[in-house]
Amino acid sequence: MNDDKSRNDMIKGTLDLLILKVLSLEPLHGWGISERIQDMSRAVLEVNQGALYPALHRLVRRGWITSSWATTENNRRARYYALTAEGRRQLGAEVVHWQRLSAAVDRIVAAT
Amino acid sequence: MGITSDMATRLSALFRRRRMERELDEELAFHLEREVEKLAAEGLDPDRARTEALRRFGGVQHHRERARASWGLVWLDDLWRDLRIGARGLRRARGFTAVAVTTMGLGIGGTLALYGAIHALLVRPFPFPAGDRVEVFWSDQNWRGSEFDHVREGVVAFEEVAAYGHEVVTLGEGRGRAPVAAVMGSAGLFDVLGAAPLLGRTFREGEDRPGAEPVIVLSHGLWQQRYGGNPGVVGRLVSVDGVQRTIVGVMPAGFFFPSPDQRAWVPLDLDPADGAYAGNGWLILVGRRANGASNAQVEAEIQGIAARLGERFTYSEEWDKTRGAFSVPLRTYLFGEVGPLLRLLTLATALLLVMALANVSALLLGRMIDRAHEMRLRAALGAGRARLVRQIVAESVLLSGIAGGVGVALAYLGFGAVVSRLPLGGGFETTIGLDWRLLVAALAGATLLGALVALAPAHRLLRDRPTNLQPGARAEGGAAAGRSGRLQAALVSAQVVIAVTLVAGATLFARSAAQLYRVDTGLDPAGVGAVTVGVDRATPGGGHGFARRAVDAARALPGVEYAAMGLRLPLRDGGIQGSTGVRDRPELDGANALSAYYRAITDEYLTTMGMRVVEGRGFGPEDRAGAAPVTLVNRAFAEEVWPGESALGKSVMGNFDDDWSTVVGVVDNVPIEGVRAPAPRVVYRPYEQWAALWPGGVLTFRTSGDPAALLETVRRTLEELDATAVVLQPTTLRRALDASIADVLRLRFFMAALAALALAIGAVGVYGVVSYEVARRSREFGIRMALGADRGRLVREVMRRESVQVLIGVAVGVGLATLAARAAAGLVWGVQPVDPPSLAAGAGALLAVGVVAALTPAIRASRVDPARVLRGE
Repeated sequence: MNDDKSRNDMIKGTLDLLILKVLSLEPLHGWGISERIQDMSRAVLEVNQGALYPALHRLVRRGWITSSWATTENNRRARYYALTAEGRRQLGAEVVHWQRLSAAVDRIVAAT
Repeated sequence: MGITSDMATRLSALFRRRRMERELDEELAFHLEREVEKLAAEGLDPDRARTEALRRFGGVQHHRERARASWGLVWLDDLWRDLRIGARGLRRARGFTAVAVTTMGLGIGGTLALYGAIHALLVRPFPFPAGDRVEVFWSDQNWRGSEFDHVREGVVAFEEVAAYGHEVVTLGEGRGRAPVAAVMGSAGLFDVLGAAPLLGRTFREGEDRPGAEPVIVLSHGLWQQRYGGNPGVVGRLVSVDGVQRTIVGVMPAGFFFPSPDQRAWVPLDLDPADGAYAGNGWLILVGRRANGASNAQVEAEIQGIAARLGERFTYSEEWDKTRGAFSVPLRTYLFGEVGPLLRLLTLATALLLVMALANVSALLLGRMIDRAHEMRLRAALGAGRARLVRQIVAESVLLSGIAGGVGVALAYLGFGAVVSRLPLGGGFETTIGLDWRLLVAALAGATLLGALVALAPAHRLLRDRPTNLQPGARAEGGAAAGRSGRLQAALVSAQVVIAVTLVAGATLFARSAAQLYRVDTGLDPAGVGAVTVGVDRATPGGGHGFARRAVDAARALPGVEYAAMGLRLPLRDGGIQGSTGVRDRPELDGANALSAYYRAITDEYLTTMGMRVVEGRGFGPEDRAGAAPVTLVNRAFAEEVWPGESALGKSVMGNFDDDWSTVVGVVDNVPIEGVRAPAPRVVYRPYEQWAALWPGGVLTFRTSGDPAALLETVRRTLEELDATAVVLQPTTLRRALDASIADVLRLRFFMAALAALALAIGAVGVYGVVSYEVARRSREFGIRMALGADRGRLVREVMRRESVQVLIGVAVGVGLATLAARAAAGLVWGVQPVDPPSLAAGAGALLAVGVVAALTPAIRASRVDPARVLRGE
């Protein structure tokens, strides 16, 4: 499995992008978000719960996502997070930013 | 109410947070459960799965903390804790807290109360729409009906011009009669004001002309009081001075014009056929400025009016309306003399507030330096700088919040006292209230100020490196403390500057008031009482008969030595003016006729009032109706008309007399227009020889005891004498004299209070700072004394150091007081505004306070026990 290093090295601010992206697909609860990030990154990225919930609450306060209590498929109460219109715009901006950043890093890494 | 709403906010935040925490716990629990389920599904047994999930999850408590921090609510917890710690600190330092809260509370309270009065008087709009466009024309109470009609014609810059005068009328009949202060107004009066009635109507065009139906408009208060607020009152008849008038309207609550003690409005009777129409002027002219009329237009128009008046009328020199034409806003007319007074007092109280704040800053600074070691210790133990600064600010905010609360309470209590001591008159004090929004704003402002005041010491603390925890740290801290000491010294000097200014100002006004008391009024006020009495014109024998009976009845009262009737009281009632012809000076006729005040007096009047006869005799019982007409003139009249000659035997005639009367005596001048005004010409006529029948007048009496104690007896006696008698305005001559210099007396009261506060705050400031300084250097003193230093020398050294601050403050304060005195020049009388004795008093008082405040800690310093200091205590 992935080691601690990969988690700790997750670039600052990327967590917000990942959460917004995951929520752009469907509303999810906290655990679901961390699972989805893990799955989608093929277990390269694992979200630290200690960072996840503060990040979620922070995004709620900024108005990019909303939270509401709902019942899960196996009939349990969980807090679901969903993207707002503002969050969708923010996601767009962050994706552009990320792509420029990663392309730049790629260019440096690929240099001979 | 501030406290309860604050509690409500806190409670709701607490409530919301409870819920948020509950939800967070639930959210985290859900997460953990799903993790356990996932691990179990991967094949781990339930117990292992839980352990593993917990391991992966990390500290639940830690996550909870971090999530909570993201809500931004932690500060509330911290604030609450800081405030609790602050409150504990303030409770421990009781002396400090008491001094800080008192000085700041007094500063805030005084400023608030005064500012409230200013706002209510000078800023608040009038209770009628056109209030700020109403202007009063230049001659006060001096317009004739004929002039008014002339002015009204062709005025452009003013939409409407009206005339009015004051009158006390009796309302009702028989025993139900009551005196009511009323305004006699021209038909357009309410149009000028833009005022609409609550019920019925106001005056109609032409109602101020002969033949119109007699009407009256009631104030809301009078309507409530006399008619219980019955809306059916419109159309009813009421007897006004014996004439049946129809009540046509009731004005809304809160409406007043020109002052709140005027309770009814009656149309004037402007009859060109009547002698009074062109006779003595007693009307006040008001006009509503046209929308958009510029100052230049108004100015031009008024000059035009003056020119037209000059063509149409002839004026004696002093009533010449063609000269010095101007108009003043109604507000200035009503409150004009209060304006500069209030501004001066506000400036003074604002200075006091600054002083209080400087004081609290100095105290806080000293306290922070005292606690520097504790703070350094806490910083060394890991407390964040921000944490410590927050602690300081919280304590200061708490302190200023309490002080603000005290200040608001003082303002609430003091406002009434302030207003009651303003020379307002006219019942305005009842219409003035303290705006609660002002109090809320002040409380918020005080709290904010507390935070600001704390920033200086907090900043200092931040600059202090928290590394010096070694044994030598106290000495090292001394350098930082020295810097703060200089700031403190500056704050003390600033306080001294302000205190010197305020004390010098107070002394100036006290001296001015004393000068006014020393003025020879030509009256002997001790033991003199006076009441105004009116009776029906239909009383048998008219005013004359009643006057005689009233004087006799009053004199028969035990304790009364003399009694007399006069038409007006000196100083209080300006009175009747007329133009006077002089038989041997025909050149003084016509346009050059002399104006003079006319006063009808009974015999014994001069004795009763303590007035002196300069030449000839006073009136006696022989000067009755039918006897040869006689006159007294005052010294000013005699000296002007017959300089170097005896006035006795000369003849004069007023424009309401039918015949010449012989001057039989000259009496000394007494003030009519106020103590500070030059003596005007006055003509005295025997009451019973006065051509017009005046129903009553002012009854004065002299007693060897306290005249105030007799006023009620006199009132009852007069009312028993005549069923229609109405007794008003009981007073003593002393009170009437004081009222005429009320502005100076009240200013003296305010300034004395401010000066006392300033001295107290200044003393506290000097004492606090010197005490601190001495305490800081106690180790040094101890060492020096152990080495054999002389105690007296130490005391002198401390005194020398501290007196420099005080001396600097005194020097600057004398300069500032000189400047301030020039600005207040118009408010003092009989002394030069830049008054060396006042300045000396201010400087001396502060030097004395400084010496006493510094001496105590200096002596304490000399009593330091060297042994204890050397042991390291």
